[in-house]
Amino acid sequence: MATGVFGVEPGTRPEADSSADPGAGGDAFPEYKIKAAFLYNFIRYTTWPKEALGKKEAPIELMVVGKDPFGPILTATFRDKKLHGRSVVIRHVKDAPKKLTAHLIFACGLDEKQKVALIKACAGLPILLIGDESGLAEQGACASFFVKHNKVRFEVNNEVTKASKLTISSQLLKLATIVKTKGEKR
Amino acid sequence: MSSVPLRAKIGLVILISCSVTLMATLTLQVVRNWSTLRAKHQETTIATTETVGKRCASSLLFLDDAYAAEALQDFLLVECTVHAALYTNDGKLFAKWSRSGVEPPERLDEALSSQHTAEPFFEVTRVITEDDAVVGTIYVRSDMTGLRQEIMRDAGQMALLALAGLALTSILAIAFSKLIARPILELAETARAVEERKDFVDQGRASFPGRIRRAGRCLQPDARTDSAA
Repeated sequence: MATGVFGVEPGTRPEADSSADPGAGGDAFPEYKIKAAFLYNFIRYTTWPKEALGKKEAPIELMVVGKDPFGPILTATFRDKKLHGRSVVIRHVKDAPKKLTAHLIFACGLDEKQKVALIKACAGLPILLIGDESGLAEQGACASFFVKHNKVRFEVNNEVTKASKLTISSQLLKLATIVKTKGEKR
Repeated sequence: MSSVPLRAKIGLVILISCSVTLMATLTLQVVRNWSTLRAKHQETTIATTETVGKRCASSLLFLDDAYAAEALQDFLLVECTVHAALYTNDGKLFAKWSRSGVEPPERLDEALSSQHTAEPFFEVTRVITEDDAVVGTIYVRSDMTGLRQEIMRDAGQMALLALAGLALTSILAIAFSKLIARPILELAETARAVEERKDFVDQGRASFPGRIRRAGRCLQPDARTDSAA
């Protein structure tokens, strides 16, 4: 049976897409290795408006705001990989910049004030804002991770993603806990 | 066999012909039903395997074994499926479903899309891909013993019908053998009378009307000429 995400044993096959497979490569599977793979798959299953992605060869920008819990894992996950025909560039900032240009923002270790400011800054923009802690989606982020039964799961606020003109595939939505802003669960 | 009356022989011929035809039809029908049912089952199993595999791609990527196990329950609707399982890229069991408690293998070392029959089992393996990247494998096994039993049950019912048909045939054979044997027996009787009395008309008159009598009349002048000569 599937092992808890923190205990999945490594294993790769030459033809396998190991970067997107949270159960592949490495000796252990810490929480953030799983989350890095999940971020990869979030990009895979999300469609941005054409104008948001810019030129054909322009990369997808992933920004980690706040604490960077990934270390080298995130870079390794996206190295030499293309999603939607584009490479992914990763940036890390402690505080959200005033002008947001990223396509995906992963918020981690922010205080309440910073969270609110970030959500407000992303509102209506085609930015997939994902929180590291449970409840951020209910506050107005597109999605947030949480840990349940020793497994990383995620909640999605589809109202926010729609308002951001992002389309999340049903393949992803069917696995998510759908939440609404202000904690109204479906 | 030569001592058996002609009527009985004719009846026997009719009965044997009908029995052979019925048995051949029944056998052909059973074979045809079996191959049709088996092909249909295999087609359904393959189609369901591919559909469920596609549905489970994201659950493999997001390690959601609960969703995968739920998706595998679709195989409940595919008759005769014994078990179905999803495996990760390294061949480890990710999610499973089984109908009769027969568990799928814990590992699947060879991840190739294939299907094969090893009577009475039918196995399907499909590699699951997402954006051309392999994300896992789905494996399904079905036991066609149930299908075979169903066919045998149908064959039994058909055999009963065939027996009823044979009983009806026997009755008809008795009736028809009488009809078929009658002119032959008449002809034989006439021939015997002609041989004994040399009178063609008399022998073919009252008791043998119709064609035999007419034939007798035609033959009479010739016979007299022959006798005179």
